[in-house]
Amino acid sequence: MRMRNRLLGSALAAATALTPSVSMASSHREAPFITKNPKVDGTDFYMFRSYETAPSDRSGYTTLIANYQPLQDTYGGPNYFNLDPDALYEIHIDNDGDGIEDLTFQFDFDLNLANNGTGVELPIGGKNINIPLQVAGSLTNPNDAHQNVLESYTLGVVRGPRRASAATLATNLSDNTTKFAKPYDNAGTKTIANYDTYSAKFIYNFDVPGCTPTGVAAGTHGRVFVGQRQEGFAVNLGEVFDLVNFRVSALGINTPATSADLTGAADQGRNIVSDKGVTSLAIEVPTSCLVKDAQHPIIAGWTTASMRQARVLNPTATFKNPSREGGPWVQVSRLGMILVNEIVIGIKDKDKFNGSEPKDDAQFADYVTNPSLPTLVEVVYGATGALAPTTYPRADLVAAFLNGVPTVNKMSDTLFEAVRLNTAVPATPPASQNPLGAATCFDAPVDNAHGPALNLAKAGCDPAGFPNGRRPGDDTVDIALRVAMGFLLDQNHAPIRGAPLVDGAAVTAANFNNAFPYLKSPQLESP
Amino acid sequence: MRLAFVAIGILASCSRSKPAPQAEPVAAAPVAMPEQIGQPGSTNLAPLAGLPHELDDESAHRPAVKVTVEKLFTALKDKGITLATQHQVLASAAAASYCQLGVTPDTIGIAVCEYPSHEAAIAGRKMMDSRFSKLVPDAVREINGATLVTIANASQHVAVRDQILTTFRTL
Repeated sequence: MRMRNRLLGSALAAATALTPSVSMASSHREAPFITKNPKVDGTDFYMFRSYETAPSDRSGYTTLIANYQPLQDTYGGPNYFNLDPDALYEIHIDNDGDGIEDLTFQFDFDLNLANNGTGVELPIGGKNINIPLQVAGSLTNPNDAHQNVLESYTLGVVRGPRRASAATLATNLSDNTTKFAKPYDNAGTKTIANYDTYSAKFIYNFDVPGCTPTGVAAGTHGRVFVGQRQEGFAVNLGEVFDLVNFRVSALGINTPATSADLTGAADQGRNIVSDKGVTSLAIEVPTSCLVKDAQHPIIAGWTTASMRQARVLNPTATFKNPSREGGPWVQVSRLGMILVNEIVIGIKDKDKFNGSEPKDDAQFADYVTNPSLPTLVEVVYGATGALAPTTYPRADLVAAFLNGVPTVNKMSDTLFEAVRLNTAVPATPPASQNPLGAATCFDAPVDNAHGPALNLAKAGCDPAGFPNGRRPGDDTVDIALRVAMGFLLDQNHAPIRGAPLVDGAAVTAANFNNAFPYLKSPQLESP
Repeated sequence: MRLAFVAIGILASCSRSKPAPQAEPVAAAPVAMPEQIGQPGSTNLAPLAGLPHELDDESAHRPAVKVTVEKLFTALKDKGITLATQHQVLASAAAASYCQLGVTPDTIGIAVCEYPSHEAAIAGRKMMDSRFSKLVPDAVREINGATLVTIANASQHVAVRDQILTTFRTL
């Protein structure tokens, strides 16, 4: 056929490239290598001004949440979802816009058997026998006597490049040690009668080493929590592309009733990860400890996980040493903005992206300036008259994903992918939050040369939301879908820029708690 | 083997503690990427993998229609309406058998779909008017025989749109 042009060719190549990587969420199992290492699979990263008001005012704090190890089910026992004690989980903050971390929070986990390594034992026929389960009874407190396997972590802070200096460990203000306990996963109500009450005991106060905070309520401290939470992400892009499965019947129409409506209601009951769990690494830090200074209120954040370069399996494995690891840290997971490594980065570079640092993101710029997703949407929906944006390179996507939006959260001219938050923008109370976030604050641009016009007086405008940071209740998929199809471009270059595109999986602030760590307890029912 | 030597060297000083600062990791020798296994994630894009096949299948089973895609685009070219891009799009989205999308330099979209019958084209138009009215609110659709044309993003180019429709009607 003579008509196949470069546009279609690239779209087909993109579609073909998706074949072996069929998972989809913010970043769940997005790259080939990470599927073999689910414990270090970063899935979502949130960064927002704290909006908790009771029992104390937390407006001087910023909350950072990195989620790992996706798709947890209650039948994941008996070992459930411990984090990898041989990995290093990190949250990075760049506060001067060069794409290099200025502050890193390091989570270093440890697994130990109770009773100083012996584990819980039961007398069986005159012998003490180690039990096969992680718990020997119901749990109510940290380090409960019934807990056979104890998971703990340290929280370190590194200033400057993450490997240039040693971490200073934060002190757990509840016991003045440097150890923090992680709650047991929600195995069911017989093990943990009230998971909200139980898990709340694992929220610890700490002070950021080397920082004297300002702008926080007297007597308050930073907080940390690591544990299982209800999956907060909602996505259904697979259903959006379900038209590919359509068949023309004898009558000419055969629309599957199960298909999501691309321009239908925001919530079409399509969030199929709503019953899953995830492990959250959450910290709440004085904002003044994150920014460079009061004159530079914008910060960029992302999370990574790293593993030792070498691993040798132990042929005589023990609980503590099933393998031996050594060598320098190698980064295997990276997550900032949503969906970047899922539907922006080409599959040949997905593992490379996971191992990369923001300062080197120029190597991935073509995936942003010349994205394949809009072309795929046009190939699938073009018969209806839906057109992809026609302008390249996509400077609007560079602003949204690599550079920050001018006058909102742009830090510098350096291009790098991260969540950017202007901490000078006050938090929006949860009841007033718009799931479409700061994307609602722009008028249609007159032309692309001038870009979208910021209009803070626009109805529904919520400048404290995505892409100015990311809150749990921001419907980032709907926002990203609209931005990809040209929401920030003029009508002439983006004909469907104003279409109310949705994936049918809605999320709002009402789906979350209004207090740290915001994500709800996992509601995983016992079988 | 190179990786094995590197690993042995590294493990000679192996430690479970996590000291900084660190040397840069040594690049491993290239190895074959293992085949993907396991369950897909929360939802999947597997249908997209079938997109090339779907398009090829639709291209191979075009119905016999009076006004083909090529006939219309050639007629428009004769009238001075040129296309900046032109390519096949998924016909099943329009409940059609075969479709192409042309876009003019002014970003006017001209989607042309071929149906098995005139009745099927009418049903297709009804479905699109209903299901995709929010996606392409300014779409104007017209049928000639078993061919349906959709003109989009032409609100600022009414004269061109009318010329396209007039040309289509006369074929």
